[in-house]
Amino acid sequence: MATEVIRIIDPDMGSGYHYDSLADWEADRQRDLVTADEIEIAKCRCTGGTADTTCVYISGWTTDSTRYIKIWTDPSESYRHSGKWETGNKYRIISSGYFGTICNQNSARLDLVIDGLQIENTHNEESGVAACGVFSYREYIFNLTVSHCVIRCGATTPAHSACGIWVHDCPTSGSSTVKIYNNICYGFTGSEDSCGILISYGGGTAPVYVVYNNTFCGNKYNFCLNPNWSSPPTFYVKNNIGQSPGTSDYYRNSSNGTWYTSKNISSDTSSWDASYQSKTVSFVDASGRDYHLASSDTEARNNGDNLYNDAQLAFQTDIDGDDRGGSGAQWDIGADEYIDSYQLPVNRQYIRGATATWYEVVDVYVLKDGVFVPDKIIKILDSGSWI
Amino acid sequence: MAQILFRLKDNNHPNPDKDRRGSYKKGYPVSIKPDGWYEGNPNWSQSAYADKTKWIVVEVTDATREELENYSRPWRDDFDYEILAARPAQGEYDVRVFEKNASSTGANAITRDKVERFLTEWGCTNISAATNSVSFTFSLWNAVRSEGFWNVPLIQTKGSFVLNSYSGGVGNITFTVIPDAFPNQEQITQMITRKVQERGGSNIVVNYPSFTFDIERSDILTKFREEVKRKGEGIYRRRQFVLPASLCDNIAAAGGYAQMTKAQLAAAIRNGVNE
Repeated sequence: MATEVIRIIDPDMGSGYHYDSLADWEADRQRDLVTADEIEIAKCRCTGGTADTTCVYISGWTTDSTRYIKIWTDPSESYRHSGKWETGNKYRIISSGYFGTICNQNSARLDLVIDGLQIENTHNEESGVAACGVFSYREYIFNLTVSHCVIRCGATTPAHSACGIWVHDCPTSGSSTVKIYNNICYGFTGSEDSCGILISYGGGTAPVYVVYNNTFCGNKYNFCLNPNWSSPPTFYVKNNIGQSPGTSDYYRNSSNGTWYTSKNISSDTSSWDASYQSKTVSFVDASGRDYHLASSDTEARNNGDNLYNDAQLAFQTDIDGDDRGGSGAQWDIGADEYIDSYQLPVNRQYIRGATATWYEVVDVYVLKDGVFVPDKIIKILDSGSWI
Repeated sequence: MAQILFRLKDNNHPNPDKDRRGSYKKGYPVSIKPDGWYEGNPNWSQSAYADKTKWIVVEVTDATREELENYSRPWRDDFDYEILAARPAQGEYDVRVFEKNASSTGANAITRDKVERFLTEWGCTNISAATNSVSFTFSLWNAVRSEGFWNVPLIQTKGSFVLNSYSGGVGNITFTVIPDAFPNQEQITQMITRKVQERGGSNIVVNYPSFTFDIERSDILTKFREEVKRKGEGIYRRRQFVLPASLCDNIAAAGGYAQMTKAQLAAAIRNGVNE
């Protein structure tokens, strides 16, 4: 079992920090993890509200499937976002990185996990620029997992091919595996291949792409998944929400390869799952980029596949850590699982009904995905049941 | 004022090429820091920066962070192009691509190996190499029938192309796909019409299995250049600038911190492309 080596990244240089930017961490820590038999973990914090403002290029590492790099915010601490872009003491990395804010430039295989970050790229249009949130375009295989992230474009004139996540693998040998789940991505509206996620034409051998439970809104293409034509990949695409695209929610330039698609919602007719086309999902505040599901939503809530025991990628939580439920539970589509998680009573009244039944009426505030909403609950005192 | 964090210790990779592209070396600027950053907070002593065998810091007394950002960039390819000759009647250009970020001694010079794959994918011909440049002929007619244009391997085995007309620099082309190669009408229609637009063309008649479009020769050349820039350019060295080892040692011996003006730094630091 490889040894986990943890380093703390905190732009505010709070107690216990090792580096104040991921870029410095990468510069100091790059090494051969396989020989060292280590897992390198960058745990990100934001103790004083300052953003990490330097892009990080991952390069000069040697990794494998059990000796890998993990960049994350620990959900047991307080520095992870709550499923929407947040400032304050929530860690975020904002840069104008030419290729990406987090960029795979490793001249060798890379095994990388990115979990629970807020990622923004602010690079404006420029010839040749990629300007992505996460960018991986390599001639070596990479096993990349991006989960629980909020990724957005901060450019005033988004670059023509800027994407939330751009994956282009063209290794000379081996197969890459890319897992993208529980992410929210918006604002990539460049004029060409500007996408929430772009899997672009590559030259690798039978790669595997797993794209589950993401909510991508307002990108030119929300999901652009192009098969590798010379050696077709396998796509697992389930439970995603695409809404309000500039051009199309879902796009592929071919149906080559093996596709397992299920319950992907589109606001247009582009979903590969016909009965999930032309659906409008209700969010808490779409204009304010809060893509938690609204209580009024009827399209995404309880309509997803349960992936608790999924053979490709089994998981149980949503973007902000809410439990989606184990085997048998009815999952929501998209990054958020709608939860009525907490009721705070603020007033109680006892009312006698017309049939001489006594009712207890309780005014409560219900915590629905991070927002307290006023509500009432009524109890029939004789039977003890709740209405 | 602003500060530059420099690497004092080499990181190493056993492969020399990967080592150059990826590893931080002694004297490489790592990142730019605000005024007061060095030893400027109570938790400094337990941070990784407190290890004075790994880092030195130079405070530039008359510079802003923005003015110093340039020093922390990688040594990256920057291709440029020169039109050597244009033959409008044939829809052809003779083009020379060269590397702007090559050093005077030839480091990071462009080579045929570096760009040949992209040129071939786009149907370029007459490829020849000289010192820090590769010349080739770019033809509208070859380009619209190329794998690079469509991002589809063996595209010419999957359909037929007809040049209906060419005048004023604009080609009118019909691509008729073989239905067996592209059985899904909706998908291939979307793919072809989108790709034509991406490459700067206009869809004229869309009638599966035939697609007719106009495309202008300079527009397609521009798209070709953008694509090669995006896909062909890479990082040559982890950092373009480096502080000389002797100066790093002097700063380390003096406690790991020094002050300089912008002019002093510019005189001391070495730019890879000038070597």
